[in-house]
Amino acid sequence: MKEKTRVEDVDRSIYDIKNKDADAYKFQSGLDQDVVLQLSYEKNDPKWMRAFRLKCLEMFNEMNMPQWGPAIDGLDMDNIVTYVRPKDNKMVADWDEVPSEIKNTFERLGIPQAEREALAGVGAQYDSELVYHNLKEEVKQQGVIYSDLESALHGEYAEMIREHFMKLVPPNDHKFAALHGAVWSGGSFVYVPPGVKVEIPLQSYFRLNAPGAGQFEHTLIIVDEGADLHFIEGCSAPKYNIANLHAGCVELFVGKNAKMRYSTIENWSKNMYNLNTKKARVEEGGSVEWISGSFGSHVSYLYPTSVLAGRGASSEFTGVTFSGGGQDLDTGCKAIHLAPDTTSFVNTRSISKDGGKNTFRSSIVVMPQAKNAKAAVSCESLMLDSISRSDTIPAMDIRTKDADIGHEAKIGKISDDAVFYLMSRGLSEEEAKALIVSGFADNVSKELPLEYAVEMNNLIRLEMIGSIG
Amino acid sequence: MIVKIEGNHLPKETWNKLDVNIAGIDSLPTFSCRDIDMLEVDGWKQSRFTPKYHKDLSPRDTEKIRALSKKGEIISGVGPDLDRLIVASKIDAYRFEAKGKNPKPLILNFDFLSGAADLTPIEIVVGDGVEAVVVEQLTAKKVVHGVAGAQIKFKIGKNAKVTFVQVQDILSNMTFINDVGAIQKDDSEFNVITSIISGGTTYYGCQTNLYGKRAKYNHDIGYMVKGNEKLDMNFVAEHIAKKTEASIHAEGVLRGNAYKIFRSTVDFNVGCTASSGEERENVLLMDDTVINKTVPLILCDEEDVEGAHGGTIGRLDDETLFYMMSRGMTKEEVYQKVANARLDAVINKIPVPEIRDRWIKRLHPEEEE
Repeated sequence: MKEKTRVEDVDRSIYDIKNKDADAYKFQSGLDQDVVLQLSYEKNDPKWMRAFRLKCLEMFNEMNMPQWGPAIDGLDMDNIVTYVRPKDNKMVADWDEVPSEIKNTFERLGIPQAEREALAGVGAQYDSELVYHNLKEEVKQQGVIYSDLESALHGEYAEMIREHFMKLVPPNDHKFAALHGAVWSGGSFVYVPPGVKVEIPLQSYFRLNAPGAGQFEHTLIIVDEGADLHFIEGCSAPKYNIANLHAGCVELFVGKNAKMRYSTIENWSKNMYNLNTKKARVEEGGSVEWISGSFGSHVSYLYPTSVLAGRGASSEFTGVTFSGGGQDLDTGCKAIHLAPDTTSFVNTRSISKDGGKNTFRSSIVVMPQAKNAKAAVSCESLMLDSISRSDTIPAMDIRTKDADIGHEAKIGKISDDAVFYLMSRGLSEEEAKALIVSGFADNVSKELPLEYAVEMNNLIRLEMIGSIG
Repeated sequence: MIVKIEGNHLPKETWNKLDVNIAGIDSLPTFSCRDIDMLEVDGWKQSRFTPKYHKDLSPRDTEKIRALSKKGEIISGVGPDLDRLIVASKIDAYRFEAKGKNPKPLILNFDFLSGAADLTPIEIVVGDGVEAVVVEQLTAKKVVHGVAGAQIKFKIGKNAKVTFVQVQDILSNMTFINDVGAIQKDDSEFNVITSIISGGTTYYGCQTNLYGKRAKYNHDIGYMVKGNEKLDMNFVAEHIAKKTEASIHAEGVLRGNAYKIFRSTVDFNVGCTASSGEERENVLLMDDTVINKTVPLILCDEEDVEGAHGGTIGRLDDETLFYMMSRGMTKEEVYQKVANARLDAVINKIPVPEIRDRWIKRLHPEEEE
């Protein structure tokens, strides 16, 4: 019997580093008002933030769990530790000053090297705190602000942050937005002044080390009029037998004629519940590009949303999701057209194998005032065996006649015709199938800087044994 | 007395804020069954029976519904709540069973009067190797008020071929439940042609279980929703056996304050290897006051299948508009022509000439003059 072509499972060995957290300071597990007040005290929150956190906790307790997505029965907030601080915690701008165990973790993940070779600045978060934050001098001189969010709450940008913090993702958006509002910790604030183009990317990397912990970082980025920024986000965690939770939040404010590219390589471990919220608001002539590679987590709810608020605003979403055994990844995107001449494009791929479950979910909403709006949604899914699952649920709500909306999706196995075509060009069957599968994820890898494309391709290795069929 | 049911459930739900997961049908009256003239129809045996329903089965129980489909049960498009309503209303169903291999077309005419409160369940049995045509015409001669419904469930035998034509032309202010279900055995074909020309608030559902190997289901839908009309649709092709094929293709036009939801699901169950399913909807929006919702699902539990969906929503492309206006038409005339053409394309597929001609005349009265 011929063996099936295998797509090798994502290689997690370099991500599965566990550091003892015996010396770390952490809260008791569970969530109540005392936990929120204690966190607010640890953070030295301004009064408004303390009141905000408490209000969010109220909302969290009142709201229901979502019923339409993957089951999250295995997530028990009573067992989640909402705050873990590494020993000797302080945020530094020199890798040599980072505690050695933590530094070694980031070294193995390639973060310092990436910073040296390819980045304008890096923020590295370990459990609930930022341990490293640095911005290259030439970028500082352009007036770019890249700071940890917590200290920015007290500095010259305090008012700007207060005006924007959780205004795009309000806590009543859904239950885990409310949770985030109550217990957020860490994360970055970026401000790019008008007309400034940041030539090379900034990056935040989130590492969750403690078992049973949650990470709730908040990323707030304001790209002012005519400015241009590429921000890369990476994340990983070692695998434990108990649940970890990631309920982060990303808010992007893209000004008039500004450009924002937000790239993510998500590689949480398979015990992680990844309930993340990302949203961008785009003003006149502005554009946002989401590049999203989802490879990890046990359960994921992830739908970057673009609010196209100004005339001519545009968004583009390019994503690939890889679901293996034990994973139920529900990913997709939303675009809300609120102004004339807005455009949104969605191009996603997904691969399911070894019992993995994959759901692509999208929403395109075009309101009556969005004359001449254009949207196109394309989703392709590859199933590599009959024990996996792949679902597509695109939804469109269109309320003006002056719109052009198109959508398409395909699901299936590797095309026999495509294999035949390549074989007729001289490739072996194995080579042909390898080429097709590796090319399937190209929509994302070609949009990333080379170093990240290499990392992404390393996450999907192909093993050709025999032939499919 | 049941005053509200839920129906047209999306087999895998999405965000609640979009309000597309399920339809609530409320303010239901006490229903009675319409009398269908039981005169002999060539080639069809007629009888009555008491229908059953599944207790404790909610329209939201997707896994239970799938399990029942795999056991050979007919689940209709609107869903099990309608079955519950029929039984609670103590309505006996009609059964029409085809005799011989080529019975004459079965024509079912429903003409609604104001104050209607009738609900008519029908089962149609087409045995092995039989080819049959069934026509359902739902009309009202003038604007009527009321709530009515018709449910037709098909049992389609091996190598049987059924062509089911539905035309709905019920003027506004009526709430109408238009429900279809089918189970298909090996090598059977179920071709459905549905034209919705008018109709108050309509809840339309059609679910087919492709239970037998190589069963084929093809559904062409043409709809026009205008004024304050509402059309809420749900199509489900449940692929259970190997090498089954499904195609759901809708062409529609929305005008005025029309509100329309198109839900379509191709569901590939484990074991339906080498099956294919596609769904397509093209909607022309003619006014800024319309609301169009489209949710085409592909659910896949099987590797060796091909699923696809596609569609367009919006206005005419500039080239077509320019071309036709350059031939002397106004923009409004162009849009009206294109709108009519979409329904014409479906009406022209009706295989019964007198029925087809009737509806062509209805859409093009100017050609009579």
